[in-house]
Amino acid sequence: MSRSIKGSTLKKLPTFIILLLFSLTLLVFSTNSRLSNPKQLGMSVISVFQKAVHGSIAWFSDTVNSINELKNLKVEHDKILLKLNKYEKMYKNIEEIRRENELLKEQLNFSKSFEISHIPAEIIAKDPVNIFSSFMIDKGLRHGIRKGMPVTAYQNGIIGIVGKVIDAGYGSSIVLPIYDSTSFVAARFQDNRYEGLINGRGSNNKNLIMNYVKKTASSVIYNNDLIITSGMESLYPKGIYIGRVQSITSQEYNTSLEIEVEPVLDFSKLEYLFVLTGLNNEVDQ
Amino acid sequence: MKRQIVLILLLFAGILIQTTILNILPLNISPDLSMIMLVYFSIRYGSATSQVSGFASGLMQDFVSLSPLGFNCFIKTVLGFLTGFFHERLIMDPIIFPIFSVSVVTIFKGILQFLLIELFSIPLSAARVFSSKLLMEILINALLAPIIFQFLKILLDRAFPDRKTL
Repeated sequence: MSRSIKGSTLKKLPTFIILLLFSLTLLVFSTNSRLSNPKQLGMSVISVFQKAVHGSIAWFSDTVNSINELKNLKVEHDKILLKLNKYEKMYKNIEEIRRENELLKEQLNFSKSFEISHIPAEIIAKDPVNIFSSFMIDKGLRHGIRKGMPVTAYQNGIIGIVGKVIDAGYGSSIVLPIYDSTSFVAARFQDNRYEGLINGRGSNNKNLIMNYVKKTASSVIYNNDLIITSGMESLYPKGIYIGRVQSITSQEYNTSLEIEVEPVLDFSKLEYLFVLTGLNNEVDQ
Repeated sequence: MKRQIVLILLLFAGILIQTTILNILPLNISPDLSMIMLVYFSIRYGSATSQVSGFASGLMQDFVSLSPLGFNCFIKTVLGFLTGFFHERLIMDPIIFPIFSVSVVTIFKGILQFLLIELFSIPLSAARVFSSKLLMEILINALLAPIIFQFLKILLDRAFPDRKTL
């Protein structure tokens, strides 16, 4: 009995060793970034199926939701008619404000500001391995997405930074969020303009950490102060919201402050993203 | 060969469900469906079959993950091979055994992840391997294991009626 078990184990061993060696070879090459194309190829193939499953679920849930929505539509329609009258009055005021705003923009040399071109994308899957925190979007090389492009999202009236494209396949891409522990964003306070570096802590449940802020800034930094991207030597354009100050820690042995930052975006609710293009920040594939 | 292809397709479906359907649930941790399925295949069919299935499912995971190519390949091949040694050596009940075996394999997976990350200096994206995330994953995997084992038993008994054990 034991001899037969040993015999069968020996038969399995060569295959096991071959598979292990192959895995290790892949690992050695991929950790040196020399084998990105096979990964992109595989990613593109599998993402087709992920899109199909995601699309089927979306279609099913949309169908169920639409039945309920029809019932509510009649009620909503009546309410909207009432609101419409109210908004017509408001529109006249908005037009005035808009004209005033345009005038102010000119005065403040806002002509320097530019419209950032972007590609809308949808999150179709998240990382299958819990120790990695990326997610996959439904746009890739054929849509103009390139590795290194910054990703933003619009939530609760604010455009906030999400992260960057870490890998672009033919029809899908992998996004590295700013809460990832390997992610760094050059940032500054919107009000007092002090600069620092934002680093993730590996989970969307944890706040971000802002380091390298001068200790002299502690007197002018308050809770809920807004932090934006500085655009300094960074792939992220300046002026995009990152988060709000949650707490400030000043250690005696440290020359700079350590600031806990709550992201402006709720990453657990993200569905649609905007990949910013035309910033000349893509990395060679 | 036919059986091997079916097992790989099942694992592929597991990865798709893991990354898409479970993505919409309000969970910060997703269960490793493909690993739970691999444990069942290993114990039911042995190392020879499960090491190949493990390798294929690991490769698929590597394609859609931030992990470097070969990371999950290696882990799943080892898990499939070693778990397969318990083929025909264990008495399997429908609840305690799945919970126990999947919990042990999840811990072992964590150890392998830690070793590979240290050995190849892989930049770790999320929190550390040995954290509350791993405990949560063990819990979710263990809770799902009896259901998945029972589902696969019914499915494979019908697909390959020659084998009725486990």
